[in-house]
Amino acid sequence: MTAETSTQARRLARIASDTRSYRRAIGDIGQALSLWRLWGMLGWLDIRQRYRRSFIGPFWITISMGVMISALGFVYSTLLGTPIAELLPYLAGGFIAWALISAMMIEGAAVFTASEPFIKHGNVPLSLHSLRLYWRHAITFAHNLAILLAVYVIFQFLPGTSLFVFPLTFTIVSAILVIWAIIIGSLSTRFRDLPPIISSTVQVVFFVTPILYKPEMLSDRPFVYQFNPFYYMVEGLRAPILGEPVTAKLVMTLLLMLAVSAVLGLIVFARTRGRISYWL
Amino acid sequence: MLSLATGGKIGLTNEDRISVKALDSVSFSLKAGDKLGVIGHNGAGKTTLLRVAAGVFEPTFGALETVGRVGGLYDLTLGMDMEATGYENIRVRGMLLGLTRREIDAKTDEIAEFTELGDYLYLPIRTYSSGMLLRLGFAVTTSVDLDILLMDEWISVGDESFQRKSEARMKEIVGRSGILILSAHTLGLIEDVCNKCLWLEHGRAREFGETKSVLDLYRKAAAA
Repeated sequence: MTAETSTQARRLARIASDTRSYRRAIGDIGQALSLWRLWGMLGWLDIRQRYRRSFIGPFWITISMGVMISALGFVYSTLLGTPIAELLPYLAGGFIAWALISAMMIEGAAVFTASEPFIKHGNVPLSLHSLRLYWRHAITFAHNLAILLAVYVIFQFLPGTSLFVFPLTFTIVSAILVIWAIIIGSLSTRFRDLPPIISSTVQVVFFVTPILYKPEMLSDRPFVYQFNPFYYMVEGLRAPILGEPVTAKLVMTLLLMLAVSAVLGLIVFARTRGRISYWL
Repeated sequence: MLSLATGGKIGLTNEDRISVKALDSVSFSLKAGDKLGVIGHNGAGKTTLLRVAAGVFEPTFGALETVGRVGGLYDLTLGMDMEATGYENIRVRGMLLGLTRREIDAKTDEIAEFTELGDYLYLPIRTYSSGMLLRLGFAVTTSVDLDILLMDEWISVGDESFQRKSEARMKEIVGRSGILILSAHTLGLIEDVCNKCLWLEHGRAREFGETKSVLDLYRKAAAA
């Protein structure tokens, strides 16, 4: 052990019932972020473990999603009267985005209960488990981008300059998703009826969010997507990779959602963090 | 309030929920070099106390103050990935225990040698026997330099020859660590290892002090 780490490790740590819970919640998240090597590795191992000794590995998800998108594109282009060359890339972008978003909501609900042995052991910040979950699905997301490459090739188009905005929107959406996974996970540990509610809600949201159809098709009921936060997250991921313009309004909306989520997340996490190990 | 032969205090909260007061008014302080033995009946709060010390359960009243690295010598194989190799798992376990990458790299050879697993360390650990797995977990876990060591029962790993080796390693790290908190039912062990002793009963500290005097009282109460 170097001199530097040993002095660091020998600091006085105080856990008291009267400690400001907000400070400790922020400390938990900060510490978790700084342990990126650990959650990065655990998330990566989750993927590898699931597909170890499988030849195609995580691309199985990609393949099944690709098949579904092709089939849906074929049927829905007739149903909606949209040319397949227009609808299929749109479906691909929407499904890839939705896979990440829905997984973070549904699996986010179980994140602390699934990590019980780790939490009961101690010395790892709680929010690290949410980051591990995020990383696992971010890796899957990256695999799914292969579908998009196929779409580019088959329909012979290039996404264009709006692709450069993708790192920005992806980062904002990722932050929102991690915060929501922490919120949902914390509440679900206390209220065990929440996870099934979340998964059925997510299913309903899928149908009311413009993924299978375009928002323009809802022109007489625009409120369905205008007040739907999931629409903005899907659009934030989908628009740049399809080469559609990313409006300033979209980015501002996402930033606003991030700010609201951060405040809400902090309130919930500060109140629940110290109790989560008791609820397990 | 209900007092049973085992367990902590069972009561109701203001909202009429059942609550268990697993520990109540347990106060003590240890300084570097202190080895604390924790005794008491099943459900007296021994494991809960260790978990409070590990930072898992935050106190609802009072405070916990620690200086230095706190770590538990239990769940030796927690976080290990059965599909990953022995060497990969040294890395996983090491990081989970709070080691930096550099610290792990520096310790890997020593850990590998201690396990005596040789080329098996290049294989996925699902090919290991349970004894081999514990050897690996033990070697990594005990390689971390801890200031405060928590132990739920003394651990003993492996076959006869490895047991001797692990016993020596245990003695060494217990001697090296500043503070040890050991929960155990074997009084002889506590007599051997600990200079201080805490006797828990229904989540309260019945006695705390020098090992010999606390154990004498405990034995007297048990005989009565």
